[in-house]
Amino acid sequence: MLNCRDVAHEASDYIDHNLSWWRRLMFHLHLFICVKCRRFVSHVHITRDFLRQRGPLKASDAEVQQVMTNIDNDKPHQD
Amino acid sequence: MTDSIDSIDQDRLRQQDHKAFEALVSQLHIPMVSVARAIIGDSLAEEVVQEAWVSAYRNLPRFEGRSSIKTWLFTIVSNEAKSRLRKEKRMVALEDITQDGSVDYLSADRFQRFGGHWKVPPPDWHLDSPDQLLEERHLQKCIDHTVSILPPQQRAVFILRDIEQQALAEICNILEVTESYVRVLLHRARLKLMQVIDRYQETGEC
Repeated sequence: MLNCRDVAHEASDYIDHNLSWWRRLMFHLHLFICVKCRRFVSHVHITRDFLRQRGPLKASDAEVQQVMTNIDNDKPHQD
Repeated sequence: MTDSIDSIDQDRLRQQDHKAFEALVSQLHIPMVSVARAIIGDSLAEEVVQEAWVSAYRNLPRFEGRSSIKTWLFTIVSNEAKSRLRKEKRMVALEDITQDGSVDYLSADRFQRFGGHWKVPPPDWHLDSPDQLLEERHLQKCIDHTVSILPPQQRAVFILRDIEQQALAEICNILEVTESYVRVLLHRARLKLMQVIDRYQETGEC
């Protein structure tokens, strides 16, 4: 039987479906009886989905410009 | 906000169209830097990424689309970083995850010594959906800051998996680490960010 500490360590594997079927069953059983772990796993789930929905971290204009300048400088050396 | 990489025309990229390439750089420069940092460390990462972008641009006409453009670029920067690592004869150690005490949810103090039940349970959240969290601008800044100070390998894994949605197997290839290690790093990164949300829900501050 899993305890709350185990759940805290494996919550991402649970929500990402990376646990074996047996471990997943044990997880389900624990969540069935433990409201605190249900809250914890729900928060991990919300956190993951929130972070995914935020979208990509965009580079600043200066960072993009630096790359484009290097590419322009490289052009004469092509071929 | 959705990923707009798909909206960049791959034919224009193959023709080395500047505007299309700029859009690609804007979307993927930060993940590229995070990959380089995780492999070679801070001091050489920026230089490696610049070389990777130049190399990618030169090779765009030969990009066949067998993998996604993201995976192709992450592989280029990963190979540049690994090759530079060999040239410099440097070693970058794996992060010692057993000594990382910054994940409060995994600390022994959170649990009863016998039985492993919560001693300090997770708090209730009044904002309890991704959509509600997305509306909090100050929280977004807190999250950006925390992502920027994650340890390099944790940051790279988090960005590759949760932001860029690369498969675990791809991430293992890009960073040359095992899948179990990737999963541990990802969980730790998420919990650190979850702690930021906990604090924000309680105080309205980072």
